[in-house]
Amino acid sequence: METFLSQLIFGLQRGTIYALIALGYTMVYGVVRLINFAYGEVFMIGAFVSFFLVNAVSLPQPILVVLALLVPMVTCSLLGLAMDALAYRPLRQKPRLAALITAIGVSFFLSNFVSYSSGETVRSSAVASFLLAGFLILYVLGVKVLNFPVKATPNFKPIKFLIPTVSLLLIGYIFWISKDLLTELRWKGSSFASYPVDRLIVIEKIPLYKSVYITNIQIMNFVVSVLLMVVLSYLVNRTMTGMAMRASKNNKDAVALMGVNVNRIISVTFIIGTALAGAAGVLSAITYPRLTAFMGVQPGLKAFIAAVLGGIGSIEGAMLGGIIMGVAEQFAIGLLPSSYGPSRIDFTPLADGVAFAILIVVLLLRPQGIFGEPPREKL
Amino acid sequence: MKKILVVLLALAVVLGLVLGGCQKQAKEVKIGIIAPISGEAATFGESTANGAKLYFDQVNAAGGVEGMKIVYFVEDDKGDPTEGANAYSKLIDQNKVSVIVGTVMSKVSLAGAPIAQNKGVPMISPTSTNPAVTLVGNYIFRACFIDPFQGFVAAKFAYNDLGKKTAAVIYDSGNDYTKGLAEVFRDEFSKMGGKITAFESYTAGTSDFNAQLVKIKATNPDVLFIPNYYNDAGLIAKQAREMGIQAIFLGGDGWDSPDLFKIGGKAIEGGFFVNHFSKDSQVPAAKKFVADYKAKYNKDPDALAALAYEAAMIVVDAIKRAKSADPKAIRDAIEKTNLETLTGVVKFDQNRNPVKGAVILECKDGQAVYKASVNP
Repeated sequence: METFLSQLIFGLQRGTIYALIALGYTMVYGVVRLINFAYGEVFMIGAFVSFFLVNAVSLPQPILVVLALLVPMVTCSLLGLAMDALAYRPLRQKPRLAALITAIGVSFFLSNFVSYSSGETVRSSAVASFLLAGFLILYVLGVKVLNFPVKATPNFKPIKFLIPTVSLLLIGYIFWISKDLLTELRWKGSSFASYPVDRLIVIEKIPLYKSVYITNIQIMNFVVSVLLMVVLSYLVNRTMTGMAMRASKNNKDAVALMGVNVNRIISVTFIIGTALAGAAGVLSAITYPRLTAFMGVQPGLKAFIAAVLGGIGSIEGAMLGGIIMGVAEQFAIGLLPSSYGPSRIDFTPLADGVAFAILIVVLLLRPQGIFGEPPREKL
Repeated sequence: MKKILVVLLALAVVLGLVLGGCQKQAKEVKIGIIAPISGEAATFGESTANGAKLYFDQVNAAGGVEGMKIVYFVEDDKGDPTEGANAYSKLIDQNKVSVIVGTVMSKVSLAGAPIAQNKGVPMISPTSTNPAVTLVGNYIFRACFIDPFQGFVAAKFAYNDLGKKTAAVIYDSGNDYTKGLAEVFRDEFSKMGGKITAFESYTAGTSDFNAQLVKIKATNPDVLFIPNYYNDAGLIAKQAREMGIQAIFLGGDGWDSPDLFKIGGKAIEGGFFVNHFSKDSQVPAAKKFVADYKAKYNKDPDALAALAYEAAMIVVDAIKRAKSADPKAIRDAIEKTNLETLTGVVKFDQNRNPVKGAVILECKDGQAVYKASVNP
């Protein structure tokens, strides 16, 4: 009984984090039919923004807790906005596969960006960006001044190269200055950072039942997650923007004809989804105070499966799917026999596969997920 | 007058060329250093590279070895076997090193050792404690004791010194180092008469150990053996205490990092771990090393720095006796090592493992302090 109760509490703790990220996946998929694989990385960046903030600022604990949660949420939503504008909007009219592959690219870019912004590799990344920008400039000069024959692009317009070149120079510059900046922020070369939980909150154990405890951090996680989900439900079901969002889900063209700016609605969706992923990142960092550049990969994948399990496109489904995933994983580890038995075979690593087993079963038995609408044949 | 000047000038040029040529021929011996300077065990890599560089710089400052200047190349293996194998190939094929000091993690050394063996370049790993590493071939050495000994020391300390009769183990099933240690501890502790109550594994990359810890808590052990690297160990200790597990934490040399205290905080206090070296050592050579290291890098050396320094000592001593930069000659000389190092006299057994003792350190007020010595 005690074991069961503890496993349930920790399962819920895992699940709420999955649920928050899954909400981002499901909302964007509902509106644009795009699986934004970069949510795991937004999650990671949320954790890091909070890490830098908490290290840099000294304020009384209650104010700091609120700021440590809100600032990363705002930063992440700006990131989401930029992601949509730079990576996905130009591909909106292209086949969906293009946007999907771009999403994977964005995800790799973000995690490697953070990974390389520590230690000595920062400067070499800067040099690489500058070289690439230089190559683009030479290319344009070569075509314009020296009249290289250009077969692939008959209507060659140098202006098209302006934005990539400038952004490369900018990225190079950011890399170049960030070494000193990062050193100042105490993010030195080492591959992981430990989140200064002590500065935010004093961990307290509250006895629940016999030897089962619940910590104040866990309570905070539940409260914040539930609060965010309630706000989200209100936003989607009770406001004009939410109505436009739900309408875009059904028919984007008709919504546009009604005078709604669909691109704006999509941007709002991105802002909300990434803000939630950022919040999940902060909660995760407080619960498991170890940050790495690749900390978002696993939760991102699991959250995606949670969204599919709940029915991708459905908000209630994402919440439920996340919780189910977390609890299922927790109990899988808890119930699978470990190697100190007569057999000496270790079954616990299989628990990592539970998520994927669930995915396979869902895809086989109910491809639309728990709350998903069955696919309709278009006539 | 002008003619004389011209002749003099020509002479000077010729002399300069000859001398310059001579200088170019002034002998040097190339040595590779491989360590995980970035990646999951970055503080290990930094200490290892620093320790080896410190000794080579000292040798160069004293005029080199056998008239040769030491030129060293540092490569980052990122704690990754693939990157590690690339680093070995690069050092051997491109930089043409005669001997390699490296690398830290057993799984990475196991990827690099076959390359060194095939190309006939001796390597000495400062800290890879997995027995399989030196079994790759006769060019592979190490400067530290091996996992079975470490697991034995931990079990003996828990059973005899702490007087505890029940223990649980949690380890990373994907890592040869932590798995090896866990299994030896389990077997030795049971052999001594203790009882293993739980033996739980997790997969690398998890940050949530609560499911395993709930199972361990239900068996109520006196000791929890956590033979993992510092960052996992810190998190596990923290989550265990938050859950109300009262057991004494015990670990291996993977705990040796200041980051253990950063992550583990109060939870890790009162824990013990097996290590190769203590900075509180009273051996004169070790005291000098601690002082030199502190002067150069402005912090206390950990065991990794000490072992890398020892590995560098062994290498330089072998070059001295081989009187050449030939890899084969250096290998033969390393095998016959009989050298007074920081932790005592180092000799190699038939599997190219050094015979030496271990220390137990206690985590106290955010520092690892000397507790006891255990000899083979």
